[in-house]
Amino acid sequence: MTSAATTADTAQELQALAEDLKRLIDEVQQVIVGQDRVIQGVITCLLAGGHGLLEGVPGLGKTLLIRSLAQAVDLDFSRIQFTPDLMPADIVGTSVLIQGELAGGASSLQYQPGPIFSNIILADEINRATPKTQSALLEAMAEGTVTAAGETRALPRPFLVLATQNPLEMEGTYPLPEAQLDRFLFKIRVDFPGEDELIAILDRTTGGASGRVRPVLSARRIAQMQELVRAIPVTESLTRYVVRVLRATHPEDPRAPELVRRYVRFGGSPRGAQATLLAARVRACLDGRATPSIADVREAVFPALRHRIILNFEGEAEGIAIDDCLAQVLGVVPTD
Amino acid sequence: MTAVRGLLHAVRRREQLADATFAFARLGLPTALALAAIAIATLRLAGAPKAVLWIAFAPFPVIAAWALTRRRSWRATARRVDHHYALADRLGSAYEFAEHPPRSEDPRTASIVLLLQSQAEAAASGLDPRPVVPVTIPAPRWRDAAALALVGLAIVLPAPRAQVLVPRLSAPDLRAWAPATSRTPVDLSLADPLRQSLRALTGSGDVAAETAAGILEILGQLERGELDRQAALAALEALEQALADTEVQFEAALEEDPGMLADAMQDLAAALRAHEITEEAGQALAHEHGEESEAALQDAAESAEADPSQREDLRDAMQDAARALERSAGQETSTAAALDEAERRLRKDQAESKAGETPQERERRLKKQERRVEELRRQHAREEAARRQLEQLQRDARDAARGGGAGQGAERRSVERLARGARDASGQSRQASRLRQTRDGIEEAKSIVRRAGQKGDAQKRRQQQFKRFAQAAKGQKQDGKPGSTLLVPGELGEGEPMMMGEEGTPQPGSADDGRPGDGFADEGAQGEDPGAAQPTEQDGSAGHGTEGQGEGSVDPLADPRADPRDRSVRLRDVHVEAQRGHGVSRAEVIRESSQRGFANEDYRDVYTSYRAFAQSTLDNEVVPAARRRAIQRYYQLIAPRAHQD
Repeated sequence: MTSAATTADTAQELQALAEDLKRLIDEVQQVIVGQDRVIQGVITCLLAGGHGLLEGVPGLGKTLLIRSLAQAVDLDFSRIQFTPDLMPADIVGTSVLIQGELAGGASSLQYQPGPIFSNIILADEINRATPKTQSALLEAMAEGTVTAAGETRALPRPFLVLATQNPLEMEGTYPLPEAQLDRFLFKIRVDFPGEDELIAILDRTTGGASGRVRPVLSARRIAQMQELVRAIPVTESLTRYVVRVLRATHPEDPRAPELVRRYVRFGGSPRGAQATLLAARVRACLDGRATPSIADVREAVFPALRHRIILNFEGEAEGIAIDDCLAQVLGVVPTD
Repeated sequence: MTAVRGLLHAVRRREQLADATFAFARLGLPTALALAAIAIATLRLAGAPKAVLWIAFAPFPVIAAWALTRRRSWRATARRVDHHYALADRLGSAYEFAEHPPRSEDPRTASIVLLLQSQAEAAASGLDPRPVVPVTIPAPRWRDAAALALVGLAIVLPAPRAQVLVPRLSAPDLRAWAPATSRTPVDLSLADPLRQSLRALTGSGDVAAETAAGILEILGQLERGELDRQAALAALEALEQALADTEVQFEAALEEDPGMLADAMQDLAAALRAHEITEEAGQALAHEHGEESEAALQDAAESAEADPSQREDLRDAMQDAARALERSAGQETSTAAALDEAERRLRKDQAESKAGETPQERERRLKKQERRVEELRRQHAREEAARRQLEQLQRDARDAARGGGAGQGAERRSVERLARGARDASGQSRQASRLRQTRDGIEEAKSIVRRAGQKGDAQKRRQQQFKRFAQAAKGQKQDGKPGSTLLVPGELGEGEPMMMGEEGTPQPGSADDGRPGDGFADEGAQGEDPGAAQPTEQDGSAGHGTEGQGEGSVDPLADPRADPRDRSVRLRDVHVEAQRGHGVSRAEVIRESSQRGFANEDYRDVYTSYRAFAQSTLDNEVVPAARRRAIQRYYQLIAPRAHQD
């Protein structure tokens, strides 16, 4: 195969990827009004092979968005409502006693998979469950496996956990520990819709006809897309920029801006840089480009790092927004 | 990546241009204006050379160099293009992948890189670099206006009076000539007048003062035996060379003719001395004391302002001063005519060559003529500049005479302007005068050193030389045969020739043919040369017709204070008769030579003998510096020239 032919094939492949993603977004937007950034963030998580934490007040369509996405990509979907009495076994599954007549005469313990054995998991209000239950997700998110009844079982591929949490109602909740937060690729903020969007929501949900989501991508196609995303080349200068940005989120870094130096206790982890670069690649693919740009990185920095930066006591007391710290970081870090 | 690189280079050039333009407008222009203002102010207030104005251009090469050498990353340039054309970092990434390929082993990655580069090439070939980096001239700001205002202020400062700065001269290191062993002290009592005039020159701290101090030191060491004559002469010559270098620089820096200014200042001084209120200023100016003159004129202006009765006197003085300056400014010199003649001759000689002249000779001759023309042009320009300066002074004086125009104190300000101008002009001519005096001092000192310690031998040589000269003057050659003479043909007296200042026994003179003779007489001479005529105050000898009363000449080297009525020497008028048929007299030689441009061989002989005698006299007698200079100048003027035909 000549290089010209290879180049043409690659161009075609990238073009097909962009078109498929556009169809996916269009399909999700059949039922979700607005929230483009949220949809894009969730799809980024899907293609990057990471997990997403959606934060927003109730009623903004978080669950609907995730369900719609699952339907559009024709993947298994489970929704787990996290409550304080939810036990780990309720998620990963448990061994149940099977009576003799059902099991060929003799009773036996049989593993019953939990709702986590799906491609897309909606962990609704994840901060309402106890840390023990939350940590049950840890292995699944990090390793893609669960261990139950002394046996490790692989989770289906692709595997995507999309958790939600309510930022206002903190009473009776268990904030996610930093280690678990770090397992999420993105923390996506679901904002209240604008006026036009609200009107469209009302029109769609209170009228007779409501949109239906059809599957547009298969699990196999999703896997191909994930592979292609990781093949997207990234320039050395862009990688260095990501590293500079990440380091500048640490208060001891000489480039760290004022807000970071005063109010940040710990900056972003290396996983944050990985997440940023992966997300930038996905954004380039979404746009049909062959390589990510600085703008892609700057967009990806906020959802990829905002849950990985820990404010100090003064920062918490002053109500410092981490997004403000990140905006300052992007303002001071040179692009070259 | 050819198109991408080409585009980036074009953008880089635009960046340099834009940087330079911005920096020129924002930084270079106000800085240049500020520097220009400083330079103009320095020029006007401190009399700095005009070259200082070049400093105003200093920011521009600096900025240009900065714009050219400023470090820029190609990646940043590419990013700029990508940003302008919304290419999402495509060109920059493609350029970077060309320089540093990605480390991934995935074949799809390499394929994507190729795709990216081909996309970048396609995009770059159609892009225009100009809109990427717009070259705009920023709008002026208050700093520019302030700098411009500074330049305006500097321009309206009073114009400087020409002040020629003479570089300092370092005195020669006398140790270089001083021998280790001490020498016999030399009697230098003859040098006392010279020392006195040199001491008058010292103390000013300028070149003349330093040189005068150097001469005094050399003479002192010679007298004390710390230097021998040869070393002293070498030291004096070193001083002379250094002074000559200084004079060259002085000459180059001169803008106005100091001689013309000096004459004008003397005229002005005479006009001021004629009025009581400005008499003191006139006296000071006559003695070239510019500062004192300025102060006295200012005092006079203040007095006139305070006392109306003196005002009229001051106005009359200013009226006279204006007239004197007008006369001086209007005085014609021969420089313009000489320049025209020299230029005409140069053009003619450039157009046609002389027969028998080699190209080298022709080139030398033309170069010499060109130098002459250049010198005359410079002199002419200086005279014109001096004339303009005098005209300005004349206007100031006239303003003062008219009451200074409108406004309180206008008259006083006009007088002050005149006083400043006169001070500057006087100072400039004084500088030239002091340098001239110093050169004369060196000449005289060398002459004194040459004859120091020669005593009896020198006296004998002088007597022989004088005898030969007297014979030559009488038209006798050494072998006794008749030759050409400067004297009017007539009777020649007999007796031994006497030197100036030498006492001798009076002897009656008689002509060869028994008729009274004619000869030279030194005014004030104590000796008598038989046959000498009575001294008169007229310089030069003249014969009246073919026979008549001879009128003796006044020796230019004689003491002018001598009483012409002094009859302590017995002088006798003699009648001479023109000598006919004895060949060509020296007078005829000179007359004929003057008609032929002083270029024939006979004249050369005459000149050589006369010049040698004059030089000998200068070397052996105490001759005042001014006379010494006049004699040298005279011999320069009558020097034999190259053949004109």
